[in-house]
Amino acid sequence: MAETMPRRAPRPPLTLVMSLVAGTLVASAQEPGAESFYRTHVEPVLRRSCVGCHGAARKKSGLDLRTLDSILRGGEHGPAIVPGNPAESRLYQLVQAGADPQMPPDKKRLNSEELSVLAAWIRRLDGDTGKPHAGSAAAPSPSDRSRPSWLPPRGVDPASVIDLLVEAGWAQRRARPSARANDAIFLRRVHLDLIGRVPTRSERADFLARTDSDKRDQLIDRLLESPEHARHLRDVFDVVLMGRDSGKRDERRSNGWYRYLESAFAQNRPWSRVVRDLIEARPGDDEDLGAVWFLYERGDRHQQIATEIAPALFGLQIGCAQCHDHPIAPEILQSHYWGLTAFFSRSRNVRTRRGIGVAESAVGGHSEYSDLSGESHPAVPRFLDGAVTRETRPKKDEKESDSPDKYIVPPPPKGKPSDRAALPKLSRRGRLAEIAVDDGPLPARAFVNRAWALLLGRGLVHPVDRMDSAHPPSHPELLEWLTRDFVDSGHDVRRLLRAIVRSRPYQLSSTPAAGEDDSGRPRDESFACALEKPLAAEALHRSLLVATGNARIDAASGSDRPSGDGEAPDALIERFPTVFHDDFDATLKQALFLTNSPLIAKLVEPRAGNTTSTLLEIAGTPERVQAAFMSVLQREPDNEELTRSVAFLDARETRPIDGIRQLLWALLTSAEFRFNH
Amino acid sequence: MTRADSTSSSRDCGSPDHQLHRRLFLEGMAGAGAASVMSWAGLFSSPLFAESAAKRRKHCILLWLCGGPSQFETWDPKDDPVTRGPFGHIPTKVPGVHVSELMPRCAGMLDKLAVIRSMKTSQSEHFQGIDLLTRGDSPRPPFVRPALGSVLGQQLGQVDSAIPRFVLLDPCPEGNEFKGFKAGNWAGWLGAEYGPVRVGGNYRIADVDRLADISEADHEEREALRRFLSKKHENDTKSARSRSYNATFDRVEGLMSCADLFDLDRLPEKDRQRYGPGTYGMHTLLARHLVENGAPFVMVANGMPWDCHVFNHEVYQMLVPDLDNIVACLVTDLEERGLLDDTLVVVMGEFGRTPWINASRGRDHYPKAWSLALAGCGIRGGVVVGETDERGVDVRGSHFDQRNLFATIFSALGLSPHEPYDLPGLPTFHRVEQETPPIPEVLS
Repeated sequence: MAETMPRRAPRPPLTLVMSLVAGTLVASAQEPGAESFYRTHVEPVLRRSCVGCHGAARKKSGLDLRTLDSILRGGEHGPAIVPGNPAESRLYQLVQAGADPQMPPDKKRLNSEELSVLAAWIRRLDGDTGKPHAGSAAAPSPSDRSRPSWLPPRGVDPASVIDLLVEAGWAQRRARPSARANDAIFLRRVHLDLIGRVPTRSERADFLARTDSDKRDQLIDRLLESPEHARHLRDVFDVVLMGRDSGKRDERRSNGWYRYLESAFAQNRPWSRVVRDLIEARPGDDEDLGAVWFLYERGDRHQQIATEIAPALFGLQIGCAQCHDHPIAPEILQSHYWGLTAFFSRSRNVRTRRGIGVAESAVGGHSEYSDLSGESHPAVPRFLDGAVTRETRPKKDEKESDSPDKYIVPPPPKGKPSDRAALPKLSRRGRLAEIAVDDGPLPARAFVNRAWALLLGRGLVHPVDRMDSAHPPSHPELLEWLTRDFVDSGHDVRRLLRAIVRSRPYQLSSTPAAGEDDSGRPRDESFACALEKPLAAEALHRSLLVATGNARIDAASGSDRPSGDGEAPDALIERFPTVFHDDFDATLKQALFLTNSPLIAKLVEPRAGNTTSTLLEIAGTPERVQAAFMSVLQREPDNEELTRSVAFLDARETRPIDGIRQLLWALLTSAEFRFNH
Repeated sequence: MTRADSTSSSRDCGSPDHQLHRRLFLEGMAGAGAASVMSWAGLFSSPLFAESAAKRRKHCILLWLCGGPSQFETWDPKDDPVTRGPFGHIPTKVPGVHVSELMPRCAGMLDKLAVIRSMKTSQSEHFQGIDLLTRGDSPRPPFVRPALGSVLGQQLGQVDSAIPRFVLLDPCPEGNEFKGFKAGNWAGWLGAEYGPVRVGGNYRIADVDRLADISEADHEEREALRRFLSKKHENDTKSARSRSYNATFDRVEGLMSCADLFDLDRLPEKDRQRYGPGTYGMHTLLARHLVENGAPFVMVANGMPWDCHVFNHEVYQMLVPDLDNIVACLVTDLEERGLLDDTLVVVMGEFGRTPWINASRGRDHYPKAWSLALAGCGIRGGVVVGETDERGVDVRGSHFDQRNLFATIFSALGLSPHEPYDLPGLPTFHRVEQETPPIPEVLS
């Protein structure tokens, strides 16, 4: 596929200094130090064979083998390793055959390769530090290890930074980037990603006819400003924030949830404010009333709220910390789970004169939790980064007094409705919003990663809701820089999306560069070749409507953009629910549905103005095939496709409607339509 | 894990079947005297060989008694006045062995069954118990161990077979914690294609019928055109996602072609009366029918009826005789059809029930000492393994847990129980961990 289109518009060039520094970055990243050797070789061995007993859930002999720090600290029997000297290291001695006790017990022994990894690593620790004992200060803690040493300066065009850092990654990973996607592919991709549907034929013709060198950037800006963009993000973030639950859709609508989300994205409301709206549930304007639904739908189930908002807003799965510290991400503690729960444990759903509300009490919410050893601990409000909210905790059997002077909005007398939900002067939810949004990078970092995953098909941290130390980012500098830039910009969602879709990695072809063989493609996390993104129900539905010419045309606005809510049918949502895939697996249920459900059959029945009846009016078979390809796949067929498809239609010459319906079906159910590629 | 890996491991699973094929093949070569005389194709089209290969094909039917059936009203009746409840016990075909009087038919053919009375497991809640007894080991997040049906479907299924490898017959979509479990990830690290095809009651396989307005020929030809266009895209992008998508369409035709096998109405009225009238019986009959037609694994479930915290005796008075009849019909039918030697039948739930009766005249969950039954393929009939004390409070002597059970199931089906999974990037998992041995007494 030769690239004949003009190069994209030039961007402000980066300074020479910056390129030089980036050169060093690549060089240093290539040099394998003890730290990277530990991460890539040693840690997997320990995780596989050791941390089950010497980790979070259990620390036999007081030994915790989850981090370099804790390994160096050792256990009850002294240091686990002697840097530089495997033979003297207890860890290494006990994994030998015949050791007493031999580790791991009852299990398969470490194989010779694993043993030599451990030996090599212990030996290297010395060489790297130059000291007989690498103290814990020398070993970066897990939360630091993905922290890059150098970042591009602030204020540079973010698309350029993306190019710079992803290209550096290609060099480091020896990945060969694909060619730039042609205009037609780019057009389809950016429509699906930004407004959740394929382009119409006229949108395509219009775009291809333009000759401006910056036409891609113009298109991006136009799409980002369009109402369809807000609606698309509404669909995406409804799933992120609330999950799929068909039984809840009517309530979400009637309580203003969809309206709130859509208008927040339409106004390009700062993401930090959205997060605050959701946690505080303290709506100002009536338009924001729907934000309350975020907590309200979850009832007064405070643990559920904590378990669900951690991945949705902060990019972390913390469910397992309900019972114990995270087994493989040591920074996630049981006290974090209960701490996050505590921020909500004074809250309660109420009805106010304005509608639903989530009231908060000024007192109470002092629960306890027990760890695996049965020991009890107070659940104090504590955020995931460790920040604790200081409050006075009543002594045992001490009764806290509640009084109206502790409130900004006091709770109403029993049985009386109020105008607004009760709000204490010291609000735990308000405090959480402050800690999370104002003081910490977590919501911004999680949003940046999600936006990247939405547009590139995989997060810089993958999966998107496991941004813990066990899942280091593929491009730590880029994640860090983009997060800082996002915060600097005032959490400007549109600026972030614009930067990503303008970048070079976003605009690459999904066909791998020649010479990328053995597995056929560069690794996903190199972003050297566009990943195929499966369409979720809403985008699939709208695209089916557009391709089959059944979208209603909005005559008033003068453009042929489908109007109406276009809500996807339940049957489609049930079969294509996922927006962010951890790992994509197509299902048999989907294939059966696409094959035999009446849904597609109805769309390809001839109806005034739709694709089938338009095709029927075209005289020649090759022209019909070309028009069918153009409507569904937004491209011309190649010779082979043309020949096969013409033969297919000619075999049905006497029953052209059947022929067209079946050809359209074959196109609509092809992988090329199913994915955004 | 990639698809290619799991397929290759299913082709070379270390099963004795593969070695047997190879031996027969070599013997065939030797008999023919010269390699050139006999081609591969000729070997496999030889009717004698095909028949013997089909006969050796193994199957498994899991009669899943969800909710946790009482051992005292089934396989391990007691005389103790606190434990026993209103039902007595009866002698069986095996001298000295008694079962509940609610199971006369199984008593009369206990020489075909193996009963294990010394199960002891650790989970007393439904979800955790179901998880433990359908996967064979405790969870180790974030890794998800595949359910028995997914493993056996992969190992026993034929790559080119139209019939689904793992069928779950379950007429009741509900079932409290079972409902939650059903919504989860059955196939775990094997990948979604090894998940169950769920059928049951009035929900047939969805979207399995060809639409009325397209002829069979057109249906096939448009699929051929679709495949051509779609594979072309797959080849261009070399994308695993496109490959996975196209692979599911390859299974559609097969499933559509065997949809009739799931149609109860096509089975003889006489059979339906013998197994019936309940839905559990109907689905067990369907399981037999599917196995006769080559299905490697069928799990029959039905909501969670065995969970009787209230009015245990009244409910069991209905449930157990029905089960008694169903198990007897199934084992007899399989034997008559020459399938029992290659079909393993497992009858169990996620735990047993308390040796005391609660205030609502029910029995509560009890994983400490419970029973299950096995029959068929590789299982020695007429064996009762282990015993519980007079009141059924604890196992006397040595006990068995879910790992022993799974090792037994795999061994009976000719699969190496301790085979490691080939899962790049994951810890080393085995079919059964810690080299836990099977229950030797029941293996023939």
